[in-house]
Amino acid sequence: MSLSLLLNPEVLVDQVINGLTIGGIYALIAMGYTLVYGILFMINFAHGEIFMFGSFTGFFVLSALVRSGFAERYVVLSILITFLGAMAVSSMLGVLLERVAYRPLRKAPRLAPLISAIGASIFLQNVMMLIVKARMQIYPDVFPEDFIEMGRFSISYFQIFIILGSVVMMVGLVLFIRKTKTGKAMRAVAEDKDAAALMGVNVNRIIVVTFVLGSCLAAVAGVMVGLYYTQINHMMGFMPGIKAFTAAVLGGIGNVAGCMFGGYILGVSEAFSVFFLPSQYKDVIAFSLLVLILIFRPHGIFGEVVAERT
Amino acid sequence: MVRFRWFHWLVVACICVGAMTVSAADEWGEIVIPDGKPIKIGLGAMLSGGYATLGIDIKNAVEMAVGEKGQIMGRPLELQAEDDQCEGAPSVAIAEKFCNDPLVAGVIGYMCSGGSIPASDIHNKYKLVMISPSSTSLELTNRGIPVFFRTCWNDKIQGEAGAVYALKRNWTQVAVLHDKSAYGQGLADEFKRHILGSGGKILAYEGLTRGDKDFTPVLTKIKPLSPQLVYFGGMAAEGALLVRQMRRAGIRAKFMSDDGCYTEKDFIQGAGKASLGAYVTYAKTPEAERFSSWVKRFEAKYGPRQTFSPQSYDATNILMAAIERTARRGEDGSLRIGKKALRDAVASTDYDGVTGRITFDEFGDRTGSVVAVNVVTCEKGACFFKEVED
Repeated sequence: MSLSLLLNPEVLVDQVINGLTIGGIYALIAMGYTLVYGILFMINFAHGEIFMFGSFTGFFVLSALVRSGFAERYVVLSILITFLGAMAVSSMLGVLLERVAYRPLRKAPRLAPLISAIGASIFLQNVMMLIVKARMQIYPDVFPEDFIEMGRFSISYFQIFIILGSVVMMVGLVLFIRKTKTGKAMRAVAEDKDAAALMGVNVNRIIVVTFVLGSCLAAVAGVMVGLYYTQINHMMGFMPGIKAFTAAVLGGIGNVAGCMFGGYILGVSEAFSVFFLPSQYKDVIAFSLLVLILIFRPHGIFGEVVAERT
Repeated sequence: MVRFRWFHWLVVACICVGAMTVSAADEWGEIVIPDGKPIKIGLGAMLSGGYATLGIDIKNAVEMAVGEKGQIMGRPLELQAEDDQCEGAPSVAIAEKFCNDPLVAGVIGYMCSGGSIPASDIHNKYKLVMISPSSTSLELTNRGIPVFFRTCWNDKIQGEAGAVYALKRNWTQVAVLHDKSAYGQGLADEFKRHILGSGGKILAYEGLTRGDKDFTPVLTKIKPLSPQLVYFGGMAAEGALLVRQMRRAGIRAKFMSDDGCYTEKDFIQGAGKASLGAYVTYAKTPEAERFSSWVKRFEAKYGPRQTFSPQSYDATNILMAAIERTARRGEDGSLRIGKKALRDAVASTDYDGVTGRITFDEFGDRTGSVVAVNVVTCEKGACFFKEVED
């Protein structure tokens, strides 16, 4: 019965828009995973918490702006300040994480930074839990809730904002990596750390830049989630973290463009899954895709098989 | 081997009679509070996480009641509050802890039906009384567990109240959503049964996951079915998001939910403008002046009341009164409370609480509960729940 709904063009378009919205958010977070993996060959499992911290910072900043009345008069500026504040804090957190939890373990066996990442993740969740006394917080209502109607189809301003915003951020990142000198240095370090160092690249600085970029994108995703879904809690990074990781693997971990597609594919699959499965199994989609990809094409849709390093 | 004479049998008989007399102190055993130790009241509620607003509200009310009573027969009363996370596994762990703590005389708990159901098995094993202020699932009172009581209504009454109102307003095309929990899904099933039984149509019956934030896929799925009413069995954290996303998706149906959404902070404030006009079922507000004066006292100390603080306050007072009736002083200065005697004292309660007169039926349910339908109304800049006129 549900399948016949698919033939209804309104429903089809609505679900695609839903999928692109949530997919954009997954893609933004997934960028952080893929950038760090490309350079350090480790999965930054605490990245979900960087997303969560970005969201909470945005909440504190925006709440302060609303309380002081500033937000009522300058809506766009307030939202901008919220994003910038979240990016600043998340970047600092990312840099701190790298310095404290990962750098000391760079020469250690691969398992050590992984465990360190999981430990950092749990630690950060609990820090936030203590800060907000384990209560969920609610973002103030500043964004307009209206939508545009074009004939039978409708899309809300929010969805446009998220879809366009995530595309702009990711395209910006890709251009940065392709066109700038630092971007070139990042690609060099990803390809061969030692050779890049021999060429005069400051490897440590590039690693820090990588974390900063990934964390900024995660922070943007965090504020978008906060504005759109309004409810945030200290565990909110866990599930999106896993799903974003899935998206990164789907697109080919280490491949930045693939990451974007991975996010959108995951988002749209989730949205359409409600026609084939009872909607409570929505999360099953993400994990099934992860398992299937790891079995049949572990380097992802757009990834290349990298030769084993000596 | 000594040959048994008649006086040997007399000695054996005396020992048997003596043993029976001693153990007949209470057929379920006794709670023994040694001299100098406090009487502990246990509490299980969600103190951190998505529904902490309700849990902390419950804790405040229990704390208020324990603080006011202060002591029983010279022994100080102590509250031990534990975080049950509104889940089965933590509730069971806390139940084991309380049942094996010799100083705990009874438990107010647990907050959620999903926790109370498995925990009640533990309480039944150790025969420790538990009074829940908020677990409304039918399953709790139809399994023959003698130590369970509740000062709230049950979901048969609540589901029916919601359905009766919906049918009265001629909302016969209904989409039903639930959060897959013992509480939410149980209630959704009750509601669905009543609607179908009266000739209504259930256009969709879908589950969503607690903790999830994005319900747009399932809402997009039910939008083309044009329901008149969307009924949600679940808690405010999800309910607020649902109603917000419903309005965003352009679904014009009415929204009705249950006591899980009867919280001004998490539902009305959480959903903002989208909550206007939403229907929520909850106990009918008692007319007695006692209720409103209690609310003022409570709010002066703890801030705005949420959902189950009145029921928690009453449950605590019932438990403490029963302890006071049953406790006896032992020869060694200890306080002895027979477990079955305590249970029977609770069962025979006839108490005028802030939520009205409270008595229990043979299953532990509160008799005479009336559930009313409330609608979110905004007047003079403040939004609140208002009971609909019959």
